[in-house]
Amino acid sequence: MNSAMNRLFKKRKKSKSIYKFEETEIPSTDQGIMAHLDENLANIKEALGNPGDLAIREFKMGKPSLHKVAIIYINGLADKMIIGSFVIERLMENVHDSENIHPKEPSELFTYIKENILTVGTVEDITDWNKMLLSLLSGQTILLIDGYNHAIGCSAQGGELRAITEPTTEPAVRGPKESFVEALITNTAMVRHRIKSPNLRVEMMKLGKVTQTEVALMYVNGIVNDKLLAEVKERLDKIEADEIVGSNTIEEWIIDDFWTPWPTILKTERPDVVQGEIQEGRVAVFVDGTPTTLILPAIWIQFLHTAEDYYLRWQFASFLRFIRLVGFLITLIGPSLFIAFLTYHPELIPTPLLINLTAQRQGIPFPVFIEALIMEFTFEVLREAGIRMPRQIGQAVSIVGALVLGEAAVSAGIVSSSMVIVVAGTAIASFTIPHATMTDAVRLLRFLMMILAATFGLYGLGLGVIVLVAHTCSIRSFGIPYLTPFAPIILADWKDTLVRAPKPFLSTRPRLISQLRTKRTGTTQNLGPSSREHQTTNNQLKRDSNEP
Amino acid sequence: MNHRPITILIMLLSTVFLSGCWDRAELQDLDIVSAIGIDKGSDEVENRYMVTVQVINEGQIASGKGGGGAKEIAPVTTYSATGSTVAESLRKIAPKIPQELFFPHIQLMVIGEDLAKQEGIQDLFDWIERDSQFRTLFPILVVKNNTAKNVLKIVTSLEPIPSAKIVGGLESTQKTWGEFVMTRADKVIQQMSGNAALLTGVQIIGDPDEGNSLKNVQKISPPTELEIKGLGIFKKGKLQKWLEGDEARGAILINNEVTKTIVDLNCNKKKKGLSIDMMRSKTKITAKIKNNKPIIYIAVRSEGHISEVHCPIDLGKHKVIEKLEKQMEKELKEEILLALEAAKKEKSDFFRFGETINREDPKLWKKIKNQWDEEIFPETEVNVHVQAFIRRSGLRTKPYIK
Amino acid sequence: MLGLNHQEMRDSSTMEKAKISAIQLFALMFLFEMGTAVIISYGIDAKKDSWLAIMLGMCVGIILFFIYYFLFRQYPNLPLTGYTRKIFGKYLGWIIGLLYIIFFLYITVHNIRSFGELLLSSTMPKTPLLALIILMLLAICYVLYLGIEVLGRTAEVFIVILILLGLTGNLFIFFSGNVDLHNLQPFLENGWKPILKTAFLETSSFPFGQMVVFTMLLPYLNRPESMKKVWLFALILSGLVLCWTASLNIAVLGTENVERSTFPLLSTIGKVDLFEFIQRLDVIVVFTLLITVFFKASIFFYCALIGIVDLFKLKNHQQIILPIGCILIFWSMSLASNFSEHIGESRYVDSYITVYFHIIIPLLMLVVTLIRNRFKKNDSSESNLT
Repeated sequence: MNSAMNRLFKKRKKSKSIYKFEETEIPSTDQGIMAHLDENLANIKEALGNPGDLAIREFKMGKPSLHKVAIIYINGLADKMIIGSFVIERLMENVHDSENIHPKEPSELFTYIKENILTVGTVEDITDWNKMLLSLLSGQTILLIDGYNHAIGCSAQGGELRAITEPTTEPAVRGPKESFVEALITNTAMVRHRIKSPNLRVEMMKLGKVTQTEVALMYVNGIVNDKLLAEVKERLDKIEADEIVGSNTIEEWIIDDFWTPWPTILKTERPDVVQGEIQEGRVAVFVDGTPTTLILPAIWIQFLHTAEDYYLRWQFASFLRFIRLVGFLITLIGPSLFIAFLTYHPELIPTPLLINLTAQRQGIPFPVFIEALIMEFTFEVLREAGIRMPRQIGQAVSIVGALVLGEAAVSAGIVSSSMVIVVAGTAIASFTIPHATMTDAVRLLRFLMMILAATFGLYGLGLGVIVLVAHTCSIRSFGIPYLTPFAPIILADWKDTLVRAPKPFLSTRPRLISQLRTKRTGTTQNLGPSSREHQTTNNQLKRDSNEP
Repeated sequence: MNHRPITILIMLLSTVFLSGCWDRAELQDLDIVSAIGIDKGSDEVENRYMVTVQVINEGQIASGKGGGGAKEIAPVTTYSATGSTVAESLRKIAPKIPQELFFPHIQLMVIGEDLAKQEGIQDLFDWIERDSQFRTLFPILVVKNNTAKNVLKIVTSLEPIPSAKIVGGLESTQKTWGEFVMTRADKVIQQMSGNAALLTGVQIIGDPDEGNSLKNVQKISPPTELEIKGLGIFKKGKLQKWLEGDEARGAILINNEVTKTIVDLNCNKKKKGLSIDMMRSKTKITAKIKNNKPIIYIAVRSEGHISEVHCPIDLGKHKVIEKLEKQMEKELKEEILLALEAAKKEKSDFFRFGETINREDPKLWKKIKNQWDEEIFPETEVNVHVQAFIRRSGLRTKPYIK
Repeated sequence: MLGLNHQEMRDSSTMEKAKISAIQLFALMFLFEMGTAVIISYGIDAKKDSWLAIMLGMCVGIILFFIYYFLFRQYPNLPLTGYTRKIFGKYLGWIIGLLYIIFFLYITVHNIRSFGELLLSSTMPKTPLLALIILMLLAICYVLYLGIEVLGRTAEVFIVILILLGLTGNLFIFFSGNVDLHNLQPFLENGWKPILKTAFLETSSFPFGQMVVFTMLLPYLNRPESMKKVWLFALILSGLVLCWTASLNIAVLGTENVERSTFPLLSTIGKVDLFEFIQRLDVIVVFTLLITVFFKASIFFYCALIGIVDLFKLKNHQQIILPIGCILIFWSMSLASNFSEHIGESRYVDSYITVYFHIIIPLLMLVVTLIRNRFKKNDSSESNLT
């Protein structure tokens, strides 16, 4: 399973060697922090190319003025209010005690400042030049003092961030109404809100040589499978990219097999989904700057589940899952079945239906397959156009599309109305698949199935389905067979797959995913009313009504 | 190494792409055949059969298109050709039609009386079984006193496809009248492998040429009509005799194929003045061997209620009902005996009593198998026992007449 | 469970080190047993008592199982081609192993050809046989390339689908009211002779005796101790299902019709006509056949492949899939020139050749092993004495 990854690396390395003569190192200025403040400031300016958003505030500290001090931050990344009142003000006004600001050791001065003066949340010592630059660029405020080759990083990050909004891609009627935002810390906090356990672990790392994107691994210690965790970390470590643009980059680096059309990593923007998944032993990967979180490993059936399933009554949730499965199948083989029946097996269509279909097709210039292809393709074009357009125009596109596709094409005799029904039905069915990545995969595979059906009829289609299932069986997501719990069959896990059993029945975690602690409910289950005495009996009711 | 599965996949796909689409056919290139008729041809060998196909004109039939208004084009068209085999004749039709004939949706097959009587139809159905295109679920009817070609060319009212009209009529007759049955092709073929067979008939009332025009349905009372009529007794594939009326119903009763029918009884002194709506009927046939001779027992148990009365009679009394039940038993038994008599006379065991004997005593059956039809069957004793129940008398007990 | 370990395991050995679970083995066996037998006029030589012939055949299959089981117990880590060499010596064993491989390949070809013939005569009369066979074999090659583990998992999915297809088919047949149990009477119409003849010559070797091929797969079992239960359960269940289907065909069509038709199940399901809409259900039969033949041919092909890997000491089975697949394509084309020849040939093979592979050679191996064990015991006891 990992071989695909290794191969990927080999290939990348090879291709790098071809272009070696073009490869240049990104310029870096590692002078180290000097003792001279002016020199340091000049170096910083040079290193960052003297940007306009770099703010340097120089002032004197102590009474009588003894130390030249500089506060450096980047406009927009730092909160000026905090800097003003908890850093600058404190430094300028409160440093009186000359004994304390005349220490023999430079570290003592810094300790004094950290411990007694700065009133911001976190401060850290910085001795490394690059680390200082990195802290500065991540929004920290740097405090430099003349004469010392040390710096203090104060966290006074701020600036404008998007507020938490309702989830747009995975809406739920009953569930919580918050979704992840771009800021990583906000996102991890949202999950922390939901799991108040010391075992919830968040591991931070910085990925991307240039972008230095913050990535957080989140899991529940004790439930997560250690081997899985090690595997995820190993794969993350292997990322050699210069830039990480969102979680998709991470996904494509660490995915098991990128030849397969199926998505093997689940993406979500809902904190409650992350909560549920990591409670089952999965690992969530947060990437700073993207509101979508990766959840791995992911199995096929998860892509037909929604968060809503857990907020509805279990019977209805199970029914919805069935509907989605049907939608999935219609999207995958609906049009191809239509093609196969019409072009290869008209004898299998009931007579009255066949007469109607034939009458509709009289005078249509295209074969069924071409007609279906044109219609499906037009639909995809319209869909893309509708998404890319600004919202107001997007509606216009869909109206035009519906009119052109539905009415005009049929009355002009270019396509048959039955084909419009099939294509529209497929389109609607495709919207029932809750995860966009899965929808995309099915939309692509649908064309493959159509080709098979158009060349060999039901035989081709059947064989195509067998090969597709075999392929799906062969892939794994971080070592977990993709079709678990159907192949290999794990009956205990079926309770939360095609149906959703009531919560008390979901007593075990998925077997393959979390091996360490599979039980998740207490052993003494008491289903139903807790005891007879608490139930209101008819006598009681009578008594109640008799009372005035 | 890893590109290998991809290679196989690409090979798979390329076969798909490179392959022609051999069996592909577009719907608009098919002429859906709704019925097929077989008549006697003009000579013995070269033109042994004359085959007529009835092709659906989909545009005229499908709802939504051209609905309402007088239709100027016939809903179906027939074509005929002759040949020494059915398959050959069908191919000879090809030059006359615009597209390929498409057989899987055949709803009806009719056989001309001449062919049934003179040539015999025992060997006629092999092509239906052999070709996967045909499903053996359509009925096969014999045309009474006419040719299959004429039946297929008659325009019918209410149901635009004539064959659908015949099949619909046949089905509803079977459900409510019980005199005729749906002689489905698979059952006919099964019967043909034996010696005796029973096929339902269809006849033309009026002039066939007048019926071959849309004018036929423009009148409120169409001058030419099709009607299901009679049960043809076949022996070794040849039509021997038509059973009608009570005889026919008796035969159907023995075969346990009556679902619903009306039985007329005498009401006091008025002949056939009371009708019983028979709702349920079950027939059991058993065989017993006595002195190496088989005896057949037919037990009928039928239930019904009173649907019409033409004389003053008090149906609230149990005695009266019991009397009527007795009368009904007698009536049904008579019908059955009529049918049995006809069968014995024709020496044709279309009730498949032979199978019953085989189930009872395979050894004996093997011995008498060859003489069964000709010698033993006409002499065999058949005991008929009918039990009739009249369950209720509708919303009134006494009629308003006094 | 994790991919890493799996990968390491795979790289370290020449033979595929995949493991199949008990459920997977069961699924493979069941689909294997259904292959073609459920569609063709199976055991019909026994006329109305074909169900009895099938049951007897199944009993013979159980007896055969105990022979295979004994051999498996002796050499739990070796496939059939491995222990032929242990038992018969290096050269003779090698040749017998090769014969087995050729036999497996022949049955693969035979199955694919039968399937092609059904498709041609039922739904696609104009398509060339070659195209159908190429498509089928390429699909098999692809799945086998992915390995036995994937085949096992795929079987788990399709056994569910097959059961669903079977249930719906049965339900429709019953509701359509075509079942006439009188067709199955009288019992023992022609005496025991035809029944025994069919049971021993036909039904016992096909498909129950064919399970000899699974001796190649047993070393892959992750829990070898479950093998006995799984094998017997699969054998009995599939025997019952075959018996049921054969009886159903006769009950619906009558013996004569079953005898005359090449694929009686197709005719049986063709009788279904419910509400004038649920009709023309041929798809169910064709899909059933497609799924079962696919697995049957895949299993035979795979076992032949690992046999070749074992005999010729190759690195892995992947490298020979395509070349042998191509050979199979041409073999299946040249197998017979028409359907009757195909059927005739298979009858000949079934009644004269299979018996060696299914019964005589395993029995011989059993005897040789018993004798060897005896000698070994004597040797060891003697050495103990001295």
